[in-house]
Amino acid sequence: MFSNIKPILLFFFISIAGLAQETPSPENEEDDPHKVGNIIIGAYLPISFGDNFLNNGMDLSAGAKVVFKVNTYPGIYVGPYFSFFNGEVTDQALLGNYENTTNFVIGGVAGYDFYVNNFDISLGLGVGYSVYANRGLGDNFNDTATALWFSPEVSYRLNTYLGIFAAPEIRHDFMNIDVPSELEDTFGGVNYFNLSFGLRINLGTGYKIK
Amino acid sequence: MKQPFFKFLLFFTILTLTGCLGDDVDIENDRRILVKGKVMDNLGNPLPNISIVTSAHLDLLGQTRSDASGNFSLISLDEQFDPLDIFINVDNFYNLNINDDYSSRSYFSEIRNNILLHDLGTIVLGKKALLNFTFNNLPGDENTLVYKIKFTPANCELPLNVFDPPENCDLGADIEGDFNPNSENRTLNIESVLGTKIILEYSLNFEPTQTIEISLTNLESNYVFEY
Repeated sequence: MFSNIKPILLFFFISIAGLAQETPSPENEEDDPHKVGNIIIGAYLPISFGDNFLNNGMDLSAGAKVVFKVNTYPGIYVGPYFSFFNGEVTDQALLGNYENTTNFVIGGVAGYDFYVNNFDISLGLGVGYSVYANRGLGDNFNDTATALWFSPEVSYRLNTYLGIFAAPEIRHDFMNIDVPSELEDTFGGVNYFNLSFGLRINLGTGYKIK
Repeated sequence: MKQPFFKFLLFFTILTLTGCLGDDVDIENDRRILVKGKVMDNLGNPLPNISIVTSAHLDLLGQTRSDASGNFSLISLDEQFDPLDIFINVDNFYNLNINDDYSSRSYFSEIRNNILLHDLGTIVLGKKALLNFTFNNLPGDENTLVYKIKFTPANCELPLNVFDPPENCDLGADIEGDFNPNSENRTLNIESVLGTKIILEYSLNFEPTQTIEISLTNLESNYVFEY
């Protein structure tokens, strides 16, 4: 699975590296009081990798992500984060006798945001509470984790208030599952390279197209 | 006016009770159990594709099959309140494909605990053997017979999570009974394991107990005891 995401990683690296070569516009360096922040809302495609229980025994499917970023100091934002996706258990011998899961993450993000030629680019870090709501067997139960992620994001301004964004996300879930020592490697954590894309709603009048 | 109300009340009550009945499993959050071991026959050959199941109060928590080398490693859920049971080559209503030619092993817990690893070691499953044991009351003999038949059961049940548990069920089952001069002939169908022995202890007319040892060398055999 990891080999499949190499071209995607390369694409994002080249895209971001290329954009980073552009000269930042003067607006980027201004303390614009009308840039309140933005909301991104879009599809969330989870891609797990590595030797862990989720990658070994589950098929993941798309979910959604919402982030509300509020500007504080110039270029710096903080805000709440919510995402979810679904998964189907493909190997119950590796996971236990249940059928599917929905993962929710509620957390917060902080990062740096700058503007280049109608592109808003941000580099954000996030931390959150991750819950795998598992179903099957006539009962629901949860696996929980602390999620930590890094997410660069590129968005293109369609007009003052609306844009489109794409964001890769490197995420690690530090699982809280009690297991015997020989399962700690596979149940201790889950690695993700997630992709998200969708709409960005700019809050304020400081996001005019140049 | 009252009849629709009572119909609604009855419907609501049934719905509520049905919901309560269906939710009798309480899976522990953030927890997995590992059950591992190796399944072999009594000649030392590995037994592949043998079903291994964990359950609590007959609710299925995890399942797998032994690999080509007879090894298995099962990651199971855990129940919050009910103790864990482990079934090897047993089908407890789960419609599993079990190997009917071989004996089975069940491990039962008395109380729930927090043990995360159950290493069952090497589990020997022998081929099943059936002994049709007939007590034949000879006419004219006015004998009273008291007997006890000890055998290794094909469905071996052992305790789980106890100090110094037994390793197998050798001669772990018995059947007791008695006959008087008027008793009719009776045949007992004893399902045991090929290569094991069946021991008959009996006393005729309250005389000292005698013992007969029967070796199970065929998949099905007959033995007639006349008194």
